[in-house]
Amino acid sequence: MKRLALAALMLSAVTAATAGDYSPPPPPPQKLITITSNLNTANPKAVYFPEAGRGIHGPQNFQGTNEVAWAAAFVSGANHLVTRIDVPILYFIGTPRIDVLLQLDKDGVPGPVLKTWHVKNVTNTHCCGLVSVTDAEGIPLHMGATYWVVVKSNAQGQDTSMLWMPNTVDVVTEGAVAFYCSSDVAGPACTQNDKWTSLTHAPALAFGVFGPD
Amino acid sequence: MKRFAFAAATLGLLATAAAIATTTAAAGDYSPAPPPEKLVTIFSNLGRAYPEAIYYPFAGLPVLGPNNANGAPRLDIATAFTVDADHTATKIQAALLYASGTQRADVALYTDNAGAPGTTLKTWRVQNLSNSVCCDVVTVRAPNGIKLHAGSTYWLVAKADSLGPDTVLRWAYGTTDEVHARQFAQYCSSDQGGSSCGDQNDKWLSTFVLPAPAFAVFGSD
Repeated sequence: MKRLALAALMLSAVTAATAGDYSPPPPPPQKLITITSNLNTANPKAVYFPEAGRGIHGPQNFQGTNEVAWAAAFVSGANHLVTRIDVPILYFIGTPRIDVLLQLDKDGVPGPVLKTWHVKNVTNTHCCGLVSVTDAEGIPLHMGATYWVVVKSNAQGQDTSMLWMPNTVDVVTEGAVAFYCSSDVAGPACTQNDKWTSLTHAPALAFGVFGPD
Repeated sequence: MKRFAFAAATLGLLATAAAIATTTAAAGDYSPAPPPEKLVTIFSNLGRAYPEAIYYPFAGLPVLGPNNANGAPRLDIATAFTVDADHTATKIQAALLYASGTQRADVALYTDNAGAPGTTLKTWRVQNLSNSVCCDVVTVRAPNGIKLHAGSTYWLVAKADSLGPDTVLRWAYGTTDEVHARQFAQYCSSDQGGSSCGDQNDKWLSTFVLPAPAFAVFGSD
């Protein structure tokens, strides 16, 4: 059994805790089924772990580090329609806008885009607000197929830095994630510049995908 | 396969005065939590709704022996809880995870004295501490029971013992409440080694922590 204490990683961050800094999560999806979710619904004041998360950075972020996007994969257990996705994204600095995307899988990393949501006014509630995006018509998912929820900066928020928080319902099972690194504008050289890199880790990033059936 | 820790980094601020210790995950490094018994829960912030995340093992408060390999001073950690009715405590669980050094520590229950740990009610010597990612807990018992009084505050303390001066532990955070800060105290001593504690040497320093270290106290009415 091996443990590594890593003091500082470019792609990670810790936020400050503030007592009482609480926004309730959005109302639970009404009459929607859970296609996948690792949001801590049993403990509405700990829907996710807000102290440390993955950094999402625009290319002109204030830290002067790489442009970074993150993605989390899930496999659809049946044919479904997606009408809502909840992601615990907390604002850190810069323009409070990001894109949330649903993408197909291509060779184990995010592939063709099914839908992009432009999200404004992302806040830092510490806990337990969620970025919640919806699609009225529903986006079809096919049984057994892998999909990716992607969070990245957009053209209107190139200086943004956000955090995507890990889950508090299963710290054992590794989740499939991918990150996109670009050093075209700033930051040290990326191992795979302008490409997605897949990995697995625990705890998985927190998110929920919901639909009518 | 690559792994990354959720660690203190360039973007961040630490949550409390005490340092946050973080580690990476180890796949399959899982021990199921002990099954619940028919006891009254006097206090708990262990996340029993999710057996694979009864605490958050990747971050917590460090418990350090005086000769720890980190070069830091001795650091004891205490977390408070207030009893809402008279109870008798017979079992305590704490999410204490071994990091390095000798795999032993003391767990103790204290009364409150002006907002800090006061008189020791009982001390347990704990050996063979686990370093599973999740979800082992240190369990100590008081077969004869320890009387707890309604409205009183008590402190659960974790500290290195005399046989484990190099012990480094992490008291992992709970997964049930990221909103309410909990009273905690740390005892810093540089008498035997480590960097200076400044004017807080050999004193309990009380403050609040969020999230709180995970523990539970069980017993009877």
